[in-house]
Amino acid sequence: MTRRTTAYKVPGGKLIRVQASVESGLITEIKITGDFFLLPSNAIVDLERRLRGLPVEADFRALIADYFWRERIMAAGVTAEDFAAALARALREGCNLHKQP
Amino acid sequence: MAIDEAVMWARSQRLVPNTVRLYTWRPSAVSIGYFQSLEEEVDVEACRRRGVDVVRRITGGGAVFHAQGGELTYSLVLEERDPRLPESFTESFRVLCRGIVLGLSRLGLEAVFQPVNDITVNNRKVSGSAQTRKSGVVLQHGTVLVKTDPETMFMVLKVPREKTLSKAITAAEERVTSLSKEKGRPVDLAEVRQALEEGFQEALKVEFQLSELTPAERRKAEELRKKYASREWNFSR
Repeated sequence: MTRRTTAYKVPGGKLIRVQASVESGLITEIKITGDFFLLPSNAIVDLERRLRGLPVEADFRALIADYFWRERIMAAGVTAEDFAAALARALREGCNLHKQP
Repeated sequence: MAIDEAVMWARSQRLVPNTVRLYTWRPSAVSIGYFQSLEEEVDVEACRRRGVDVVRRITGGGAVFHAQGGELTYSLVLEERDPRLPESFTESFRVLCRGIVLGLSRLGLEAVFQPVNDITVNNRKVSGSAQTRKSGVVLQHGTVLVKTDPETMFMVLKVPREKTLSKAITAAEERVTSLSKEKGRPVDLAEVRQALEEGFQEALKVEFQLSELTPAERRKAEELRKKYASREWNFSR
């Protein structure tokens, strides 16, 4: 199991922190925090729930963009793209450390 | 915080009109944004040692140190469908901050709104705001820095790993300022309150009626105090 934390600075100022745990190629734990603004308030918890259990090669960019669009998530200081990029960085750096031969 | 949420609730129940509050903090406190992790942003132990309160807001945004006597905090509660609010969530921060910009200009300061949620004077931050919405009501609140205390701020907020403490203080002094610093003289909280009152009235094109919390708001605030005092709420992420 690998656990990785990453801090992703969005150009313009806001920070997205992602903590992800990966086991057997699946996201087992995920926590997204930061100083951004999202509506509704439960958007992050909801998004985390949807990401949990997904394989690390999932198309998170499409997934998160779709989630924002369907649920009409309002954001200030961040975009769906930023969350996807932050997550990708967390997963990429985590996986590289523990690559199975 | 409990009062802000109580006013928001009362507005959603149509028990009160749109409301503006101007208030201060006692004792000093750190508030963090709804989406932040308390442990990541705040040295909770240092706060405890210094008698600094710690609270999670219902609004997003960052970690803020509210120095007792050092700042004036505002909150605005209005209906989401108010015609003065733009369609865009991002733009609404600017519109609701306009009262501060106008208020600061009444104090002889050239204030500029900086997206997403800041106001600067001479390119240094004097004010930050945060917003949330629930049940058709908008709550935006924020601080106006009247007098800064960078030492305490850095004792209680977690300094980014990359910076040493003194470097961080210098960097902050370059990015953050206060009304007193910009005016080159001590600025009175009462003076600021008056200026902001006028600024908000001008920006919102409204005349305020000085009032008090209603009994319903007081009861709700008492109820909500328990939430804001709880570990469950403050440490929820």
